[in-house]
Amino acid sequence: MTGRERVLAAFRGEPVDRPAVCNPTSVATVELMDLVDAPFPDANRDGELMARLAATGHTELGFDTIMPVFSIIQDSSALGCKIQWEQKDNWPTVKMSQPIWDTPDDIVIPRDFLTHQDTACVLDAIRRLKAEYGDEVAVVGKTMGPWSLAYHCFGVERFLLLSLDDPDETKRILDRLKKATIDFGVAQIEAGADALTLPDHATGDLVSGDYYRRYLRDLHIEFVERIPIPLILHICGKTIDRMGYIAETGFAAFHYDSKNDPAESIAVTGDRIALVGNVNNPETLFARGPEEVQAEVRKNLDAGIKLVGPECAIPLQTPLANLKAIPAEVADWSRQHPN
Amino acid sequence: METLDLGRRIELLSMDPHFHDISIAVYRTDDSDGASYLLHSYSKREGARDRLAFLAAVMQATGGMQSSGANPLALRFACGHAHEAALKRLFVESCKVAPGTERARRALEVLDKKNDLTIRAKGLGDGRYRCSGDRDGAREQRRVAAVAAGLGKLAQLEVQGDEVRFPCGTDHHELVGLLMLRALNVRGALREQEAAASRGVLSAPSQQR
Repeated sequence: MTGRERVLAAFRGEPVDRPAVCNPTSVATVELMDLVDAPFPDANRDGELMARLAATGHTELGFDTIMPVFSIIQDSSALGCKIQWEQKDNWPTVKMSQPIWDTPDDIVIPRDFLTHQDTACVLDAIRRLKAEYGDEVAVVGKTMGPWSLAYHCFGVERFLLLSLDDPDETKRILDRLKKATIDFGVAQIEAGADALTLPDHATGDLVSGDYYRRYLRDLHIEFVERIPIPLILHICGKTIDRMGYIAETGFAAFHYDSKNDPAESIAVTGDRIALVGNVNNPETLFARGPEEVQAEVRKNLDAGIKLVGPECAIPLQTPLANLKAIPAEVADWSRQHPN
Repeated sequence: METLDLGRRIELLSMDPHFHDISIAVYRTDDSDGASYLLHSYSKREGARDRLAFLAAVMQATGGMQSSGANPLALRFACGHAHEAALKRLFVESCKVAPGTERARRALEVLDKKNDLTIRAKGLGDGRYRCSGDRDGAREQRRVAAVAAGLGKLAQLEVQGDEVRFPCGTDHHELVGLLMLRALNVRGALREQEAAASRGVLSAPSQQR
């Protein structure tokens, strides 16, 4: 199987020759930026640099996927949010202390949303990667969900308070923002994406499983219907309390955090949705060594997880040896478990 | 594949302020002669290797390292011991040295400006050093002991009162000279290291400002 075939089969729950090594977020590091001369912040704003840096996830690290959308700010920038672009060694962020909207009626998806530099570069990168890597590897794009976009556009604190005080207003915001999620997603499909990550940060630390059911489950079901490609939902933190709801949406996969035990998680989701990720970033990939990374990979594989990778966008200073340990361990484990 | 198996990465400078913001790392390997450290950058910029060579020279002059084999970017301590904590500090401090700056080993003394106290380290042989101030007094003794403890923390040395000892039992005058300056404010040095390491970690939007 090619990497692309393997990833897509795993999303469908079909047999694979070995588990897939999948990166739904980012495996960019400062050393990889130097290797291909594509540093942040430019590699977040220029399609050619973005594609060049993203390709190293496959060519250098051996992943079955390439993910060019490193950040979570591309869509928000095109919506009009102010961005702190930072330097090579740090992530660009939305200046959420300067929200751009106050009420649902303020929400207007700009006419240049898909031609803005920070969304157009994503489409350009996907086209370039598809042209170069074709069927060899799965090209994964990213479109932000309305909960994350609302944090960016209204401010985290204000939006969370609103969700407590005024559920109807909150739902109106989410409903009006969903057009951005769908439009950017569909544009990436047309550019050649094989799958899309859909981060919607109803994270375990701030939002309960019941919140997910109340505000997001139905919206997510709608995304599955209107964005015709395998979708990978990404939510950070301990999310076991909502995995049952997430498994009802029709998403192809859930990108889950290391705070969730693989066996416990798969017991909840069953075969209704694939699980992907789970290798810890700050403690293992960033701060420990290949042996510890391999142990976490093995724990996932032993639990029956078919797509393994980092739990979230990796720290930019992550050692390359630790990232390479993921596909190496998958290969070793697969040799020991030929069936 | 262009990435290399260089050993275990010990420390990374993600943006070199003195050379086009390239990243530079130091990798460790171990063989029968002990620990060896390799300076490496994945940057293909013209001049990057010269920058690494300068850095290696600084680490030799100010940290007492020596070349480890034919590769001028491979270094080791003469004693063969890893001294990994001290190596990290030496790398961080060496990266701050601007090209063209004179690179000489530091004297075994430091001026504690706050207390107008000069603190010296005297080599006792076999990797032992005793710290002392140029004045006596309870406050002065506390500062001397603090510097000794700071040396111990920065280089993982055995500390006993005002004395420190390298576990290899070999003198390292250059390292002691280099570390004395940071030993005055060891918390600041460790904070600097932690701050550098925490850059580049992406937080969920709920954790951002």
